[in-house]
Amino acid sequence: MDTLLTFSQITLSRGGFFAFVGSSLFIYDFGEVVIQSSGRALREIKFPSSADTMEKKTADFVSESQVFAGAASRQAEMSFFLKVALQVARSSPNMKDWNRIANSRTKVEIPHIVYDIPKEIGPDYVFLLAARMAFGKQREKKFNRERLHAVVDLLHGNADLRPSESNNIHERWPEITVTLSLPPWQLLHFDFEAQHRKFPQVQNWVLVELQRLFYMDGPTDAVKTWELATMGLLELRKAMIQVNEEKNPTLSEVLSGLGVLTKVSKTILRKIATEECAANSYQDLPEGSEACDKPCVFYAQKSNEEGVEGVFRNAYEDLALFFQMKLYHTATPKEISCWLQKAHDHADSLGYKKGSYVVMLFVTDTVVQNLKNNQSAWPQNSMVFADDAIDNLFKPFGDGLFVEMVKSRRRQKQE
Amino acid sequence: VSTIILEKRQKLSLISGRKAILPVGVGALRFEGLHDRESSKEDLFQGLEYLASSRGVPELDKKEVPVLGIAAPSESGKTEFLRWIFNNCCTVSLNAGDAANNLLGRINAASPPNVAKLDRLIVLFASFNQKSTYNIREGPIVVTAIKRLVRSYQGRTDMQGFDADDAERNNLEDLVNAFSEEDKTTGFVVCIDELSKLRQLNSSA
Repeated sequence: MDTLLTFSQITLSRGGFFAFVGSSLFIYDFGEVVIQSSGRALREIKFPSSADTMEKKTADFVSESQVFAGAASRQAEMSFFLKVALQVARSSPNMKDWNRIANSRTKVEIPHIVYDIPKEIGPDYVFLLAARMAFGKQREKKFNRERLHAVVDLLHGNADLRPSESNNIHERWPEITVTLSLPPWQLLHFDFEAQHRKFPQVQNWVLVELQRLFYMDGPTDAVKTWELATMGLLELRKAMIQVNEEKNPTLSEVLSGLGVLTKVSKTILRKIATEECAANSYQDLPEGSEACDKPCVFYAQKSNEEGVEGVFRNAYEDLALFFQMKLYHTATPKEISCWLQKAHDHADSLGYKKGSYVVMLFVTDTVVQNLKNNQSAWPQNSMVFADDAIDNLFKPFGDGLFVEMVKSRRRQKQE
Repeated sequence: VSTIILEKRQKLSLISGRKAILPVGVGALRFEGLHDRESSKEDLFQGLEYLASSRGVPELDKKEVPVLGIAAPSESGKTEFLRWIFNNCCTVSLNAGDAANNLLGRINAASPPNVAKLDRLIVLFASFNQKSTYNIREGPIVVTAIKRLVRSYQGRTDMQGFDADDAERNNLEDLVNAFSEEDKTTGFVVCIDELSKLRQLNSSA
């Protein structure tokens, strides 16, 4: 190697021009071959550069070539599944995944990737990397070859070399400091066996519901899945903040940045998330007097649980979070007040004391300003997740997925 | 005498025609080229400008002559990117267009004023990926690399056998001589897919 590069050096010195451009599967190969063995330097060409353009080009190709024109069923959902397929491809540098989408003829083929947890890094670290990327908190760190290999080659994450002091040239090896990124979508690319928790930070149901929503049900069949996935996202957000901040966040911190409209006391907002991750249950909703020692999402099974879908117990100290989804409606401010009141009434009827619970309402097709104008009419300790807030909740899994779901539902109604 | 004539003929056959282009892969064709690599291309151009700024500097340190390197997992389009460089950045290529001439202009602009401007930029390509592995029976890897680079000029990257009429080119000087043209200053960009395979050069050098 040094022989070749010496030639380049001599040619340049004499006024000629001779440059080497090389590719390698692994940044460590450059480290070993170019820097360590040859005493030379590397100037990095960042690669891949931008998935955005490729995503746009694929979408344009799909749309212009009308490759899905023959898709008779679930036409309304085409954009949603395309968005999901692109999101998968976006998480993978593999050109085959892009081609597979473009090759789909009568329906969108979602590239299905299943990873194993690499033994070099372990599940807790996989989750941490995804959580960091979800919140834009990637950190520079020194990594050995095995760990880099696990993230970059086995999980299709990305490693950015630390910008060098001058001209993007790297001369030192093996002191490689990189910033690792792992798209949160990668968390869905595992087999979630029953009885085994894949990641220590969340129970499997959180990711299983999302996986089902994105890969199988879609907006049409996702009546319940959508609701469960939304609650799962709330739990996932808590867990991601937990690992990023290395402390249990308050309810206020979990909601921060989402754009949730709240009429909730400060005491409640300051309640701290429970260390343990939440289970889910399909039993009847527990009454207020029933003790619950672990965090758990209870889904209402009885038809007479009027006004609520379920209750999230003990997620934030002893607080009960009643939730109601109205994701298939165009919600007016008046209806919202009415739905909130009904949920509060039901919580009261189950024996929950005022101040011990909050009602969370998820609504679509609303005008936020109208909601704000009507906020004073809501019962105390209520919060509303309108379109923007739910979309923000979905953000770790890609911009606009939620919007696409709402649009699909609308199109479906029109068809 | 016959050997000299043969070598001259070979040299003429190499430099007289326009350089062939390499076929691009399905992905690149489908998406009309690697348009998503704009910032990677800019990294490349800036790297070449950086090297050009060292032209004619007598006390050039080895650290000042870096390899321009792309590290990425398999199937992420590295080979396609190198092929793009080969097809589009070479001024003697069959389809040489604005990209090649702009790059030549940038290299010349970045070069110190006391060195000759480049008239031509030749890009060659050699692959050592899993589809074109190196076998030790081929001889020294540097000779293999040079042969592959030379053959790429004709658009040939197949590794099935070697031409009987391949001239002996054992080092890069031979390669430069083969492609040089009188009264013209020629610059070279050599693209090597899976450069790390040349690690064997370290032990054999």
